[in-house]
Amino acid sequence: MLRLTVDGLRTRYVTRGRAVNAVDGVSLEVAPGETVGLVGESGCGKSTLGKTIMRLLDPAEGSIRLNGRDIADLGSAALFPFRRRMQMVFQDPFGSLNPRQTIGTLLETPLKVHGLGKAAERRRRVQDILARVGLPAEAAGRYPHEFSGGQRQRIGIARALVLEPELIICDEPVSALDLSIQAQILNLLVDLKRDLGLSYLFISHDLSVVRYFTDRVLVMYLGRIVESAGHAELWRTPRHPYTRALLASVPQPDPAQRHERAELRGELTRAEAGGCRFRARCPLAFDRCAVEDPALRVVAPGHALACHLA
Amino acid sequence: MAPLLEVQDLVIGFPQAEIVHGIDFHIDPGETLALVGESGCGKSITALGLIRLLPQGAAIRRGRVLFEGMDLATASPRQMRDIRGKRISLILQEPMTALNPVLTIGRQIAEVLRRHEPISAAAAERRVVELLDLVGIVEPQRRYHDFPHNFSGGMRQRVMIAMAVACNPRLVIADEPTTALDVTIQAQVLDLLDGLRRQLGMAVLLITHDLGVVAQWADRVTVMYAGRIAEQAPVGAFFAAPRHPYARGLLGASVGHEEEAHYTTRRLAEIPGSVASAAGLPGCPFETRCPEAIPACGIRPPALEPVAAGHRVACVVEAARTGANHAAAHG
Repeated sequence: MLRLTVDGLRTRYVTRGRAVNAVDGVSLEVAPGETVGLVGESGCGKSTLGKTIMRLLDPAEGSIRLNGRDIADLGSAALFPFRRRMQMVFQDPFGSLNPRQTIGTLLETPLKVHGLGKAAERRRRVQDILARVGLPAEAAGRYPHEFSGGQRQRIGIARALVLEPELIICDEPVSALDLSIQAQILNLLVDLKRDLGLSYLFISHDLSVVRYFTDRVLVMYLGRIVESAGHAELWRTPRHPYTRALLASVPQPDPAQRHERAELRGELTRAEAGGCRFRARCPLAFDRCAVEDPALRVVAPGHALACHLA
Repeated sequence: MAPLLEVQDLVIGFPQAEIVHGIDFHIDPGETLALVGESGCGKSITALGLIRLLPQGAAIRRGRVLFEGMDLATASPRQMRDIRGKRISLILQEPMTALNPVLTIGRQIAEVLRRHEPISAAAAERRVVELLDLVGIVEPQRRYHDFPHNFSGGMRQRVMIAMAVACNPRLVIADEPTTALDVTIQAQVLDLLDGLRRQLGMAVLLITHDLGVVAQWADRVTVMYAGRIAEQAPVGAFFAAPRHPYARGLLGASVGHEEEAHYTTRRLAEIPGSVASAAGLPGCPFETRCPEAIPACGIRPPALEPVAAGHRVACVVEAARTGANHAAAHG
């Protein structure tokens, strides 16, 4: 059982002497067995947040707790035992697999690194995991280029699973895939969750996928969580003006439901310091929004919001 | 009404392989036709073939592309240069690579105008500022002198649209125009393109893999699979009851199709296998993945047959079903 608790997390990029907090004070929790969606537009910091939780990027501030133990400041040796418990699946099934390694080597390496099992046991484990993600046993002897996009994403998932983690951070795992393949991969992730008791932090810009696949959703805008709610609640009563605009922008595959889309002005841009960072695009902004940054607070059971109007 | 563009038996191939295997479709004046399919189905190659901008090695091997009394498949390079940008224009997926990074935005749009119209430099500049304003660029006079890297992705796509409509074309081909954009920006850009279509009376060939985009912005849809047309229909009829098993599978596999669907209560419908599974087989390209396949499907690729007004399907099983219903109704 693994519980992830993130508190006040900041990740800072410094470019040309200017510091930008790509993740700017994020707190969240993923309970054992839970699927939490993280949605937002490109540049909002959702991938940076995922990589920081994985400790692939170093946080500037805040804590990342796994069952209460803070890993935010651990060095690589101290971090080592925690890496097994939390793994990541990446978006691009082409760029994230080493083209010179056979699938067998690629899946066996994490086991070797963590000193798990003898050679024969490791090979058996690789065979098990291939079967588990729906790939044939002979895949172990082949190279990534011999597989289609959907099959490569199965390999990416197999690699994340081989160490038997409890939490998987999925960063846009189906965005690069065709529609008919997306459904195959989502069904696989559902099966794995049920059979292995996994929890997921599921990062995506695709709201339809998030709606289908997650239990609870966090909406991110410019480094902050602006709204969090259960999936049904969020779609029934989205409260933040950004969430509402985002949901209204999704084109429904139903020509009978053609409607005037809520016009959201402009694009995601860094607002000047102070105040709500959505105010320049917000149709409801008023004077208080320019001076006071709204804090994320609970407005109903399980529903939190960062907006002065709530 | 005579169609604006009519494609007849179009075959496009590389020396080693045929990509598009003889397709027929038309575009009416002023309508939006969506061309849908998954990667590798031939939709982009078809679009590039229409305006003869095929990649190195690819060529039109057979068929006709009739447009304004001319066959574009055999038109001379000079004739094509006069048509491109003036009568038919193209909007590509990635506006960063489609724009020249070392020329100002204004100059690039003005270049299109000056290539096709006898217009002075000063008049062209005035016209470009109007166009930038038309596509919703704030402070167009100042932005005229900016470079592509000064613009965000959504703004660059607005610039591409300004360039595409500069000479008031009859047809705009938009190849995945919003795939690289965020969903809130996608809605802005497609609403803009749709508004201009109405205002300027042009037709749009919208190439996309997103069924939501089709439902919201197209009048008719053509579904491609493995270089052939699987189904052609008005959007209303298509989304109400797609007739090709592949189209049904796509809609079933799409997570947005049933709003209330959740992983705890419903499993997504999968289309088993992949496009490659039928490579080299003589029959229907979807046969190996099709839940309804019968032995007759393996003989030859099915022809595109009418099943209702404006609705055509390339499926042996569906054609037989329609024929049987027809016989029952009239027998």
